[in-house]
Amino acid sequence: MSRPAISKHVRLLHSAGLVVTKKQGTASVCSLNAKPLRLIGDWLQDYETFWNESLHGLKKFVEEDR
Amino acid sequence: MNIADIAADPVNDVIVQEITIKAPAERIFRALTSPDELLQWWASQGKFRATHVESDLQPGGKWMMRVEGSCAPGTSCTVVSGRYLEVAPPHLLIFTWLREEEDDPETTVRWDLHEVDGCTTVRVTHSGLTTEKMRTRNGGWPLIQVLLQAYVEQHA
Repeated sequence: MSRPAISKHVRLLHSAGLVVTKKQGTASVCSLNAKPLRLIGDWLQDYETFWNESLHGLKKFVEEDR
Repeated sequence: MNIADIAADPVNDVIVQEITIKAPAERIFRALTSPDELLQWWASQGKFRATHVESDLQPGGKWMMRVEGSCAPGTSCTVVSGRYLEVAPPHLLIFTWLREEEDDPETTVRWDLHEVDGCTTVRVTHSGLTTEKMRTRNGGWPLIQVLLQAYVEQHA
């Protein structure tokens, strides 16, 4: 990967709040900020659980009704 | 698969789950669409419970559901509503899904019922989740889906 490509990726990550950049002399040190990902992960995880439990509720209800 | 393919692939913003039920599709379709029946099963003990359902079962018709308890995703009572997009008993039901929280996107829920020898595979597909969320939170940056996918797969 070329240097400009790396810079571009880092800029995007930075704009999404996923990376924090610190200058150390001529170098930029990047670190991950996983908080936004965790929000998305929680959101998906909650729905995963919700649908899983809903399907099991449906199955139990329909099968016991027979 | 390269990054552009992943970012453009709508499959990545979908939750798909399946279960096999020992009952005809018609029976299950009724459970999915009758307010009386929905109230009896749409719950998880100690977590959430549907307490009120309204349903105008026709394409374009509105539906709504009040959920109480520590319902998902979230922690308190919520109202979910939407419109039926496709009503094709007993195999297909599609409706929009909008929680009343103001920053939530309108998503789509699809039920596919496939019956073989009296057993029915029920597949629920909830789509529009991450792209809309991303538009709200990150100004429409699709590359985040790549990171999201990696994150979700890693934690699956």
